[in-house]
Amino acid sequence: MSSFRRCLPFLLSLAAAFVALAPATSAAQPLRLAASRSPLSLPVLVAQDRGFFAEEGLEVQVADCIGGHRCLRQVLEGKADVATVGDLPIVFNSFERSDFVVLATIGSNREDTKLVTHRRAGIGRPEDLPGKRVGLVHGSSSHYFFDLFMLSAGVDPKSVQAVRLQPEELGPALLAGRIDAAAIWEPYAYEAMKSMPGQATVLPHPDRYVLTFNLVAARAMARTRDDSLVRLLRAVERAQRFITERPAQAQAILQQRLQLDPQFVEHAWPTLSFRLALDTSLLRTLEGEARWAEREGHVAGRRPSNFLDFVHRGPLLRVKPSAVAIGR
Amino acid sequence: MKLRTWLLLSLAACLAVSTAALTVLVDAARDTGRAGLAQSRAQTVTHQASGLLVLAHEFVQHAEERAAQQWQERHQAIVALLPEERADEDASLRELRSLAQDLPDLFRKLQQVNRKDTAFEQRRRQLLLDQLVGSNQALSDHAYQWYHEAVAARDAAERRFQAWAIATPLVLLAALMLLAVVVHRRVLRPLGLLHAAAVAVAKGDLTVKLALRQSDELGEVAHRFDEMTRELAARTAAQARSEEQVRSILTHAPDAFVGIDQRSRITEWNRQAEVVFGWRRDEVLGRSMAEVLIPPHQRAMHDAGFARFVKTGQGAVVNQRIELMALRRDGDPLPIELSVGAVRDGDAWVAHAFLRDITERRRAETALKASEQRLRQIADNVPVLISFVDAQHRLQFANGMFRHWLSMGAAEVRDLAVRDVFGEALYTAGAVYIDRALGGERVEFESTHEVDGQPRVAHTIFIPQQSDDGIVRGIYTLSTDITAVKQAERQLRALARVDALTGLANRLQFDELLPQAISRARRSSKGMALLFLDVDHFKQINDTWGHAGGDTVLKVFATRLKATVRTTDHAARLAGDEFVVILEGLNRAEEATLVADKIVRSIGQPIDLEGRPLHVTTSVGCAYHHPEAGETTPQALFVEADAALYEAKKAGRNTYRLAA
Repeated sequence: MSSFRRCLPFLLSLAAAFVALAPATSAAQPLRLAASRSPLSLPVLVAQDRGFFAEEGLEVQVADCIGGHRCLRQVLEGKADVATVGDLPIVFNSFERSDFVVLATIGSNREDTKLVTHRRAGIGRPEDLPGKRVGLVHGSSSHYFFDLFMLSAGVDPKSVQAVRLQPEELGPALLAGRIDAAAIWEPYAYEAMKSMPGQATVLPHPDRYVLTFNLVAARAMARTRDDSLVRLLRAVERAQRFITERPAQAQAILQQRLQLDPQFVEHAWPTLSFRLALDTSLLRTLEGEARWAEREGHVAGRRPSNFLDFVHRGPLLRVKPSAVAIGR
Repeated sequence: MKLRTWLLLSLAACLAVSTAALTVLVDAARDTGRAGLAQSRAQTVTHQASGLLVLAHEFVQHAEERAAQQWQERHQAIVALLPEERADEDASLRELRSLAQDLPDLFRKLQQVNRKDTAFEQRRRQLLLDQLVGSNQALSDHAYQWYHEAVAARDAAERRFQAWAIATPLVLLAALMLLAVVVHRRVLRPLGLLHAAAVAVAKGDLTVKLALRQSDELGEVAHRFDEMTRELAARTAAQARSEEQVRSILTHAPDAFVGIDQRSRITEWNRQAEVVFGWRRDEVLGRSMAEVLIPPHQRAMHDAGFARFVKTGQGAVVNQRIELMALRRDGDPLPIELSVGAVRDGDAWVAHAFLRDITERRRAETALKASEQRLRQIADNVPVLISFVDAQHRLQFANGMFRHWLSMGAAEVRDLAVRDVFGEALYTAGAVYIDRALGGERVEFESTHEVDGQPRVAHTIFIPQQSDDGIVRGIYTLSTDITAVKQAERQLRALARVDALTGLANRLQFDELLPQAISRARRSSKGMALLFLDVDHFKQINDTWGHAGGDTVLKVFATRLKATVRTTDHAARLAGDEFVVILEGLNRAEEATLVADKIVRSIGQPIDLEGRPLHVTTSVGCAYHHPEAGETTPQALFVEADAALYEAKKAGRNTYRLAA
């Protein structure tokens, strides 16, 4: 069987070559992909590493960015065609503009964001936080996670001194003592912990916030370059299969590509879930988060009337119709 | 590879394939079952989850305890439906489980929050509500995803099962066909070839070859078959050659050859039989032999004897030479010599015979017998004793005269020892002659026999009978009765007046001559003399030189004597070494002594005896008579001469004396 599997890439590449040669024109243009430096980007990284994009007849230029919010910004500024981004940046940006669409959720992580604190701050429970300086990444999962953490525990998140920082700054700031706690996502949480061995603690959070990691494209791409998007999603799906079937190799790619600690990869792996889908829950999540953003006054602008408009299901419908529950 | 090995391998392969196929099928069936179960569970959970969502909404709307309770129950039902955690479970199931675990906590918080009503609590409540709904929805989504995956898994399992369910018989069929092909090629085809070859061989075609190259049991059999066929062909050829030879022999045999089966029908009839009996082969084959060959009056006996023969293989005529009369085609009887052989043919016996036309032989035998008869008559009546003695001194033939002389009667002469026939004495005497003759020498001798009380003299010649190779097989003896001849000879000798040895007159003649000389002397009035002489020491000469030497001396003596005297004188030999000379026409006695002296000197010269000179002397006694002296008689003269000889001897021999 394995020899057949080995043949499969060859056969597929042969088929793909034929497919690529026929309608070669539409795929001629390369796709610019801004990928967040997060373990959740693994499907993209694997697709790139294993040449799945090329096999699908797609030239993809992958650019790194720290934090999905930055990746999305790349797309909004026209510097990228597609970006990997979590649900929060989508929500925040949707209040101001609508020139982007969600193509699919590619994965989720229920342990991505953590509240890390330095021992010197003496924070043991949510009740210790009021008045403390807490580092947050505004408009991101870090932000939402912190509010959820506090409100769930019955403590007003506005009672803290919120310090806006970028993800890569949170660790050093905590270390330097500029902040007492920080809501950081992986792998930066791990790096922060590593930089303060024995000094840092993670506050337990009973309510799980499941972060969805999505592929977002410029709205201009929708329908005009659906073909490329289809190939992109196909490659991503293959990458997901690869991750499921060859976890060890996938882990190796992850570790190598993002320069991660093997220990971290091993630790984080069970929390990662990769599935190409457009679930109904995405809509609920976006809507709930939009309401929160508005309620808590974190954002200006108008709440979108219907997040359905932000979901472009065309490509995913062609790749994996059974995974599409929402969108237009 | 050996067929046995093939068979075992095939069986093993079949078993392996069947087992594998069954295992996979069972596995696939189990998978299908499991997937089906999962699918139904997922379906239920999905349904429950959607219900849960509705209840959550209800609770949010109306904050009723009932809704909360139902929500709890439904949630528990969902958790109960989830299968046990496994390492390889779907991601969605894992997510589902995780969510299901988190939800109650969330719900409880919400229940607490519901009771308070501050602005902060409002904010809290809103967030938690959104969270709950979102989570519920997620639960639903995951449940649906799980269901979807379960369906896909079940479909896959079913497809796999179907595929195997179809493939297995196909594979088995293919294996069976392969086996059939192999069996056909390696077993059936060779067997077919073997069968065809065996049939061909049975029909008589011995040139068929299998030449199968398989190195298994069939190949072995084929190889042996080929060997066997080769062997058979060789033997058949040899047999054919042998039959050919026999046929040739029989065809050209100088005797008629007839073969019959157990019903006495003719099965063999060679060329000579055609010639001898006058029937062609095609005319007699299958016909009863008795009808064709046996004279009518003998047929019954033949049939009886033949019936016995067929069962036992034995009979009066079997394995012997017998002379019978057979029939020729024209009905004439024909003397034949028969030699019958019996051959076993299955349970019965059949016969074949050589028949020789012996008409000629019979004629020859008769002629020979007549000839023998003639010769016997001649032989028996010829006045010669004829016999044949073999190398072992046995008498094998004696004619009538022989048998008569030896009183042998009419008994057959065969292997009779000569010793017994002649008696010891005669046999011993004759044995030396027999041996000489057996050595190849022609021997003649005389012998005396008493026949009918009369002595008879036989002159016998032994003639050796030599065969071509030089070996003397025996001797013919021819003996003539020379009794009469002998008698005549004796008589004749008696009448003879000449001394056989010397040629001088003998005593008889001398007895006539002396009175005549005396008479002539009276009538002529002339003197005469009688010389009496012998060889000195003649006995010694005889003793030294034997009779042969003595005879030679006497002959020389006589010759010299005759040479010395006048033709008108007479010399005679009286006996032994005694000689006399009658001198006539003498005037004086000195003329006589002169002659005597001449004789002495003549004799005194050496005699050549066997190359050696022998000195012989004589002594002479003279007696002179003149008729003037008166009458005399031969006896008186004789006495005078004898006395004179005596004187000569006394005087020392080698001299003469005159009687006074």
